[in-house]
Amino acid sequence: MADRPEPTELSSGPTHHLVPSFSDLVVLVPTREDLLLLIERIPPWVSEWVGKTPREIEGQPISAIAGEIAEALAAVGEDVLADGRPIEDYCVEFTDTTGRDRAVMIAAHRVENYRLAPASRARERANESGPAVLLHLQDVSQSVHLRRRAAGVGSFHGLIGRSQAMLEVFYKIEVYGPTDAPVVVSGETGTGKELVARALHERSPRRDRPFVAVNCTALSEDLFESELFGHERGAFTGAVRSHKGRFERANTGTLFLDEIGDMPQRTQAKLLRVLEQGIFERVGGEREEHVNVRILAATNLSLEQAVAVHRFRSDLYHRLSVLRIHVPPLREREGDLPVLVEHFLEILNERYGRKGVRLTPDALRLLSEYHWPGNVRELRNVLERVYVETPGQAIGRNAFTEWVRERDYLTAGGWNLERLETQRAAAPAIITPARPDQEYRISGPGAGGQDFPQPLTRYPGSDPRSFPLALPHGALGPEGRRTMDAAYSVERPLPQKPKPLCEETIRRAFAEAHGNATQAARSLGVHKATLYRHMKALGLQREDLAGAPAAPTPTSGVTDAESSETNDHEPKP
Amino acid sequence: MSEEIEQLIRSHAGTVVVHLTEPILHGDPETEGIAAELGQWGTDISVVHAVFSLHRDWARKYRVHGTPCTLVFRAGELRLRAKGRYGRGQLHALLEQAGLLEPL
Repeated sequence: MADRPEPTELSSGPTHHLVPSFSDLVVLVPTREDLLLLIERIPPWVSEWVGKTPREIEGQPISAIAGEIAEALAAVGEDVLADGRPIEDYCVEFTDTTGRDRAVMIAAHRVENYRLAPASRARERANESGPAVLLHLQDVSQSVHLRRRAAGVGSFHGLIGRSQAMLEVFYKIEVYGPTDAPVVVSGETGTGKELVARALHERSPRRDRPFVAVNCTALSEDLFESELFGHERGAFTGAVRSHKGRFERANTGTLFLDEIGDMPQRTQAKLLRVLEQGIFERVGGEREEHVNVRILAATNLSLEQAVAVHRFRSDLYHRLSVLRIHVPPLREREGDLPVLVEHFLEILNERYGRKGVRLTPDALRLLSEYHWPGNVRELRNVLERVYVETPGQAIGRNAFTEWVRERDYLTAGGWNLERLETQRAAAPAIITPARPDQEYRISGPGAGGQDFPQPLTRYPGSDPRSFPLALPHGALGPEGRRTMDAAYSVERPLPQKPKPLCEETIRRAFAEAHGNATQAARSLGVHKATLYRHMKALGLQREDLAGAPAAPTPTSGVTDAESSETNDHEPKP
Repeated sequence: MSEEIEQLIRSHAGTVVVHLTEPILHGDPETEGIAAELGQWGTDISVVHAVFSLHRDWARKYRVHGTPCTLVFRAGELRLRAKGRYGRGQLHALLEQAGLLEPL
């Protein structure tokens, strides 16, 4: 669009309106008979759309000009002139005379006592002074084109979605990508922030240059600077050779700083210097290094809050937050779930060499009712789990039974594996991947509890120690249902509560393991943490047990009958 | 598809509000909120949310060439045409002023 010149006064006197002359201004005035609207003034870039020059059409009735845009302007002009209500942000899409798709944003309002310019060609048919409609036009063809293009593609640089929220993201990627400005991508965990960063890189002129990603939470504070800026040989203990940092590796390309809210404060100051001047020094180095790197950052925290509590430098925040993209959580992406499910099932079909596996509408409904705190990542993992567990082509609602139970448990508070295990065993599962060393009784549908004595089958090539994944072909019920929708039930023994450990058992285990707690725990069949808990309850110190001989059996002072029983089965030292 | 809108306008005894929008361009929360509320503003209002690009020819008949736009019909006749972006209060006031929120 052409630049806007300064407004100029076209009329004067107490009854005349001050009309600014902008290059985006179209002025329509009614004829003396109020029958038609004449074009009093039109900028060249607008007249081009109807294949004419301003000189050719100024003074002409707008209705006499062919073209969609002329028709739209006439309609807007007539409405505003008739009822005096201004119009704002009215977007008209049309095809110009050269066949190009265009879009224009229109704002229109009526003015009274508009005075025609002295050289106006409308003077012949319009009153010298009277009402007029001023239309401000803004060419938005480019942004509308980008939005339409993004909407037409369900997949955008690996990002899947058709929801309005994701279309906004795609649009911003299109607009921000080609710039060199830093972009902060925010969003909950699992929403695909790194994919957005990669898409920004792909849309930039740096697409053929390196894209280097750093996770700010994955590196310790000590290592961070060295990893980011590199180090010289001998800079610290263990620095046996000089090392190029991520900044140098990303030179002329893009550096993606994931979870930037967790970046150590000391590093933030150095990062600011690179952003401001493109200069840094390696750890232990004396020479300044120059780099040309575009910074993209992602965070699942509020950077504003981090600034407020002085965890994040405000100057760095302002330098980084030039452009922002917020990736919406899955629960806010209306209509995207089926598209994502389809996408992931396609990937899984390819990976596992199966064809046409799909979710039943009921299953899809179940998924759409969930709030997905883990977002797309959680959806992908859940789908892979049920995909692997379901041998048939249709994955039904019941395939998600165990997942539903687990997620409800998780939502209810606390992740306690022991309790979960008990709950799993107690609740009637539709199907549960079996442990190979446990006996199961599987009842099939329609056969009054038909038993399937055959072992559960495994996929070819699978690890024999892994869980069986499929029901045996010959073991299906009379209806031949093989999907998870079939009403199979699995009964499994309740897990045995481990017997309490006594002092003597613990001492012996430590002695046999030569004081190694991990080995001792393993020999007792408990987790190391469990062993420590028992030790604490018995007032035993690890130092006392390390290398200590086992306590003599009956005189150890243990009065617990259960403990004595346990000891009876153990070999005497 | 547009025939269905036309049929509704002709058959509905009360007010028919046709909210034309282009979701790609105007998918902001306020516009969506207003569109969702329209039906609750009057006792006898029937609301149609239509994607402009799917009803372009039909809309042209009512001299609508862009979005967003709200057309209000009563007894089969066009009574109000509000082009461009309107705030919640503005649109409500407009409909009220035109007496379009009252039952026939």
